[in-house]
Amino acid sequence: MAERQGNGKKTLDTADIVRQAIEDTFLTGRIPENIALVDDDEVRQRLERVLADIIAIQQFTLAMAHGDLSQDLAVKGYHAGSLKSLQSNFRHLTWQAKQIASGDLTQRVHFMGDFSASFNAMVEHLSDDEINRTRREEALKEANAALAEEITSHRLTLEALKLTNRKLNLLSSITRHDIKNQLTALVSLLYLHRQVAGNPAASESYFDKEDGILTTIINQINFTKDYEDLGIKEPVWNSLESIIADLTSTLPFGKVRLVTEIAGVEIYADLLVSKVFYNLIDNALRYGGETMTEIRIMTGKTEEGLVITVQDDGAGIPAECRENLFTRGYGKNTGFGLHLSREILSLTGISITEVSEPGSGARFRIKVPEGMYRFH
Amino acid sequence: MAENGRKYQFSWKILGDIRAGRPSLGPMTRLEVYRLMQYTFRDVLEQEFGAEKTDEIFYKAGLLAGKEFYTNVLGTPADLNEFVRKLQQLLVEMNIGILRIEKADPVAGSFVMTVSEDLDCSGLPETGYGICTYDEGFIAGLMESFTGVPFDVKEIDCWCTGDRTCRFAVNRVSR
Repeated sequence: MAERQGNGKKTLDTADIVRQAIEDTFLTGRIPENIALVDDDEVRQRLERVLADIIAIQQFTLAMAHGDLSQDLAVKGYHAGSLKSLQSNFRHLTWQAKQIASGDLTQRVHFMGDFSASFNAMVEHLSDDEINRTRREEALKEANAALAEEITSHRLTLEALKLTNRKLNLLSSITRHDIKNQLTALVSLLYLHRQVAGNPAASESYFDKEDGILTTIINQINFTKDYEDLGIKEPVWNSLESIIADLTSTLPFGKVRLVTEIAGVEIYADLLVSKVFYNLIDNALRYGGETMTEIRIMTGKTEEGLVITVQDDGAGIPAECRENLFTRGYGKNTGFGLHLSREILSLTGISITEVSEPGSGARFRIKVPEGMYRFH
Repeated sequence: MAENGRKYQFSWKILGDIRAGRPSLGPMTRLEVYRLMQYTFRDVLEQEFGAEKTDEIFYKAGLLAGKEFYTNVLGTPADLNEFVRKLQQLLVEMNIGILRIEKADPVAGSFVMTVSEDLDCSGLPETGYGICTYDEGFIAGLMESFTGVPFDVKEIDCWCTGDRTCRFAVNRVSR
């Protein structure tokens, strides 16, 4: 109960101090100093605890109002519990927002009144947008795929045209080069033949040679007939054994021995690849000289692919010839020349180089990349 | 009795065909009945074995229930989001509680979950200590079934400690 002091001022009793302290703490967020005036220690301590709880609740609420959901509230009871429940909802909404941000559009809010309806409508709207976006992306992907297919088709057509053009040029070179060589030889023979026109015996040998040249020209023209498939037929797997077997029956080996280690080897190359080996062996037989006894065709695997070596033990290639060996139009007698051999092989990525060593015959290395050879 | 001598070994079948058994009353009952059973069990168990052992028994029973619930009701969710979504939906449909995720760190295996209007404790008088040990075990069983590794679950806020929602700290047991 309030009492009056001698100076007329009313003194505060404990109940007044407690009531005033609670009101002040609620209003100001600060614990008033006059609670020290409460004489009863137990009452004062209980008051201090209550005021501390009020301050803690205020600070917790303020932090939450500023968006800080990390605070913990140690206070128990209805008021604190309700605030913690509110914090729990905010935390859950924060988690849900994160899930939505990471693409989970199935999140929905329940039991939060109008907010649930608004939030869920927003997520459904996002979900619809996502579905539409996915559909548009799918349509775009399909259009891109169709375009890519068209581009690929166009590129393949271009490549096929390029290949065809290259082969046509090659064919033109072969026929022109070969027939011109033969005709040059024929002109010379005819000139010489005229010199012995009255001598039937001498004339006979010229006839034979002229006949041989004409046969060669006919064969070369026939070859161009074979080559009509140009650009239509794809490169094929060629058995080295079959190629070399065919050559042994058409080339004049004489006493020269042919040694091969090519069993089961197949190379993916243009149909003309047999002409390459024909050319290499024909060159060896023509220029190897009388001392030549052997032509070897060997194969071996390396890190870069398959290596086919064609070598002889003949006279070898003169140093002055080696530099231009693969130059177009270079060569003494063959219809193709090494330049054309290189062109044929390069159609499927196969390379050919000359790797002779002085004094040990001619040696050529054909390098077949991975995927372009197999063992059958 | 089973071959191993067990009389009450749990299987989902023991819950029976409720639809056939209760064609008129259906599958629902009053919450008081559930709580009456749980708290009388608690009373007797505590008298027989003490409070600590009783909590341990309830935790283990919850753990078993969580695993069985996962296997027989929850199915096989593809990821954490689906797991939470299905669990939330089922807990509401079955009037068990409103599950919310406050924090989730799947990499660290650390979660904070709340269950509002909890079946076990919502509306109970303030006692000063948490009572949802069965819920703790239940959540641990669910998490272990989903992740394949054991979890430790501890209730940090409860109706009985003066809060308005039950909050659980859920942490993967480090090996």
